[in-house]
Amino acid sequence: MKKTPAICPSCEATLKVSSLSCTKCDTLISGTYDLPIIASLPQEDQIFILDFILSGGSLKAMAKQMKKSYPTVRNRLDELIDLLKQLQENEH
Amino acid sequence: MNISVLFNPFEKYNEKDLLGFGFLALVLGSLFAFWWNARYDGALDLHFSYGVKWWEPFVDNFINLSSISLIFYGIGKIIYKKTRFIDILALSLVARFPLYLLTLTNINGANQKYTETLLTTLPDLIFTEGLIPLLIFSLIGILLLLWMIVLFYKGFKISTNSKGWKLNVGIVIALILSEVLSKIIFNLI
Repeated sequence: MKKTPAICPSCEATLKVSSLSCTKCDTLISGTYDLPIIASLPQEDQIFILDFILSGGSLKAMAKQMKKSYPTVRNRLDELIDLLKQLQENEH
Repeated sequence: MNISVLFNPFEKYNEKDLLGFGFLALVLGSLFAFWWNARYDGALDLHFSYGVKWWEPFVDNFINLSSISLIFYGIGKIIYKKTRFIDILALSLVARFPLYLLTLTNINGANQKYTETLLTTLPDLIFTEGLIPLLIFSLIGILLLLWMIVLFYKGFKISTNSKGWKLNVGIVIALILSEVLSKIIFNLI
């Protein structure tokens, strides 16, 4: 799976979406759209969030799946929450 | 097995595994102390003695475990409100494992015998037959104590999700207060 770039490789500023296209009829929409906050996270963090939701929000199930201890997974989630809050603040 | 697990089992193993191992280690450590005449007379202490009764190391370990768990939990809660008692209990049980291994240096009273032989040469401290084994025991002791400190540090870091100065100050205060509390209890009984 190709990952969506979130940071400019040249100047490290946050990237925005400038065009969207229809895969069926090739209609192209141009504009400036923000990437969803989650899309600006590293891919491994996006996978973690997806797995967390799919496990019904259970840290115990996540710990079992990741073969890590409960506090290790909880700490990872806390770090992600902090990061998302920071990104949200930057956006506003 | 990855060798890093020896220094940080808290990242991988769940609390049930850690508690199971920790309680087994505590029982074995208490029996070792009975067999080879050791007393755990402080949260971080081990001293060799004579005529240790079978129940004394169990009482020692109960006091030490209680002191460490309570102090670490209290400080852990201050640092991070989601700190769980079960993680702190597992940490308290597992981190003292190296201390139990230290009793093995006194099989057949070896450590004690060489120490006493050396003490008879004081203040001249001349070379005796026990000097080399005693130096080896001391080196083993230092390595095991370092291992114990690393386990406390890693366990506290994960249990309390702390880092930086909070982690460093927290662990130092927790270790000192645990030692002080256990010593107070030992003096009271």
